[in-house]
Amino acid sequence: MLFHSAAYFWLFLATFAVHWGVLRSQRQRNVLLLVASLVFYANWNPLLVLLVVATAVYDYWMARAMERAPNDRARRARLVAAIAVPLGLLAFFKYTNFLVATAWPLARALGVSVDAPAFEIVLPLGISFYTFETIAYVVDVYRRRIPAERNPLDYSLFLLFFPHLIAGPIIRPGRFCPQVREARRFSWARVEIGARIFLLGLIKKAVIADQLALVVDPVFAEPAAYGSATIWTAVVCYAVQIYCDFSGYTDMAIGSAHALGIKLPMNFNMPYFAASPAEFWRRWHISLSTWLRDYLYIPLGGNRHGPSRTYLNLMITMLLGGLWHGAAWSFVLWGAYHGALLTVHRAVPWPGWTGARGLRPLKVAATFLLVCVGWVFFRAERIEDVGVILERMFRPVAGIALEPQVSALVAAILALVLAAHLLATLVDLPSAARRLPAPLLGAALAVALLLVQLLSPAQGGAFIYFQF
Amino acid sequence: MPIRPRPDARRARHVLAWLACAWLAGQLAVGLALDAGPTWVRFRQGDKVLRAAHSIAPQPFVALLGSSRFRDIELDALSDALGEATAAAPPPIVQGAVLAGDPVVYDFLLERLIAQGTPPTLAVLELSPETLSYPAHWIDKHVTRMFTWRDLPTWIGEVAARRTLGNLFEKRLQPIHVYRTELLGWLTLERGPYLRVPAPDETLSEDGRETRRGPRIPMGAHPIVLATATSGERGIDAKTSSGLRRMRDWLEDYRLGGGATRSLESALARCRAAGVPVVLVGVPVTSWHRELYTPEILAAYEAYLGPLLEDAGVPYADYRERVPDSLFVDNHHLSDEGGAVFGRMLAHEVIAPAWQRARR
Repeated sequence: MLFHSAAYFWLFLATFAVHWGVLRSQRQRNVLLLVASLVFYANWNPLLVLLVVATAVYDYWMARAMERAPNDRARRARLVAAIAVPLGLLAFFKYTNFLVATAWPLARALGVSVDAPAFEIVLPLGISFYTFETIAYVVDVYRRRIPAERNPLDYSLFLLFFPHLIAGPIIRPGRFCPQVREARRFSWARVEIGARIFLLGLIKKAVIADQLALVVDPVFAEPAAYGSATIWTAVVCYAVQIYCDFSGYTDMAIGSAHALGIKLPMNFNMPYFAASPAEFWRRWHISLSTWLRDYLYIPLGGNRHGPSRTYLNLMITMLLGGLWHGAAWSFVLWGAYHGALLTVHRAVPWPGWTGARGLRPLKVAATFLLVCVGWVFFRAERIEDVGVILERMFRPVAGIALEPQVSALVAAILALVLAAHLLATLVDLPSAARRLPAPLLGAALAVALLLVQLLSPAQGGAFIYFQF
Repeated sequence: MPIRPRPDARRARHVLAWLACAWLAGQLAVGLALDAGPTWVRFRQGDKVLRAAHSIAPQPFVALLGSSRFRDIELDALSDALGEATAAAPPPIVQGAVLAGDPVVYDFLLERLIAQGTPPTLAVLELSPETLSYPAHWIDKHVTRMFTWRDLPTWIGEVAARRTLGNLFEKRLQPIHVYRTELLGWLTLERGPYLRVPAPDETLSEDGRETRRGPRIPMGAHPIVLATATSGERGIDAKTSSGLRRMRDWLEDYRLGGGATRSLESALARCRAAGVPVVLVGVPVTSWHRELYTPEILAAYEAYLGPLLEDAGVPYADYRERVPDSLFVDNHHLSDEGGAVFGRMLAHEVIAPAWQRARR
């Protein structure tokens, strides 16, 4: 069920109306949110909803068992068991075919002459996200940062709450569960803010990301046919598309949750205004990068064991971060590329003058360029295409070009996104909105919504991050 | 966007109320503009018919009005046969059959043809029991392409009976979303997609028109089939089977009447008033399709049609059983060959005599 579909609109509206208008007790409201979440997921696959429920039940039970462990050894054993099962499920559903495809050439080299088996495995939506959430929970309980949840309903809601279920943000139990326990009070102000955030996400997704996909998809399907200028255009368009698609999804998730009285964490903070790869990862998919930092990089030793070990830890973290995105070598390469960028950025003793304020636009542009190169690994449909695209980006080649009016329209969309970013940086938009008279603000939001409805493409696509 | 709690509940309520009202006002305003706008915005196929007639007028012409089944008629074969039968230059033919075209559609098109001063010299109208059923089977399409707020009181009952009220409200209450492609085409005077990237294997013809489905059937290659058709050698393939399933659902609990018969009567009255001769044609279908017409359906159809034809003085040529099953691609759509055979039959037996009467 897509956030920008009629089905979601009706599900949300019904949930919202019953949540605030009919139910009074917190427990009833949580049950309602859980039921709505199950309907939301079952709308895609009624059977696989059982997998999410089973994961929730298992880790709820394991966390309780961990607390009751007689000693540290037993506690650790239960942690391993608590992590192994969801991680095993993730590995099975997401990586089985990848592992087979990778292992088979090696087996052939060793003389095995059996054809590689092809398993028809349906990847459960959101499995990468909720697996990380459940791992965060059991690790936090193990570290005694939080107590194990007493109420299975609250824990299930933490994992299944529909706005974040499919593609994040990856939430932490320490922030989410207290909100579920506390009494939520209806607030028109929260609803209005939620509506504004949702609308912003809708604009990003339907007006920008889905439109840019029309330029990106054909070029990445047959990159060898296109000239260098078209390839560059498609790569930059993809950078903007994936940002608007994913941050648009997140905005819609945050907006929906906000209207239901629950705050989800911010996941993006204008990442393309980052002035270094490290800053980019502090602004891009924040909930994932902080998860990787807290549950992978720091446990590996972080930067506590000297430069070489730090670089190694960075590389391992980013490689696994890449693999988390998808079971393909292109994602591994993307992770390795970002690991290398972070390592180089950390290893180079940058002279003091490079920190000058005036150089920031240059550094932002350079970081954006480096990130765009990374998106080539991420988006290429075949691993062989990576070389083709990169070659065409950096060695001028003739090929199919965009028509002038298409180029102009693409330039206008990209300029609009840049202008919106600049505006959001220079002006405190929420304060500015507060100063506007209510009729004017309401009418402006209505015009924005009407424009979304007018400009969304005939065939709106699913969110890119749904595949992860 | 950072979340900042704001205590001003009254202001927030006002913002949301203004949002809802301005959104609704915008939708209604654009909906009214679409209702009053040119036909091509909402009904491109219908507009093509009007333009084709406009480009021919004041020269006399024959208009074929009906559904996709009439669109299967091979116009070249029909035109050549018409020339043969009339022993003169064949009259121009306007292919006015559109997808999901029933009496509601051709009443709409005839009204506009007459209003724009290009009434046909002869109107050939497709008819079948299914297109006269209640509720009109294609009412959903009519809601999208033709109906305006003014039509709502007349049609809402039938829309409800067809269980497509949701679609009606969607079209009426959020036309900006439903007609976004058409609206952008209207605003920019150019059809999308606007961000089109040429594909390496693009094979569209220069003018972007659809290519023909097969080679043109040479004149005289197919004799006119005069005998009653039989199943022939063609078996029921998957396409036919699925078409028959849909038709069975369509004809379930068959009731004749409602908007379809009202529109047929209106079309006939409109033509009579404008002096346009009309021929009604029972469209050819396969034997399997005909088997779905129960005696009750046929009785209702004939009981309705008999007095109507007599009152209106309109001829009815029944071709339902005239084309063998082997000349169909499914249960009721003719193949290229079938289209040529039917076109030649229609030219010789129906259009040529009617045309000569009309020209006298």
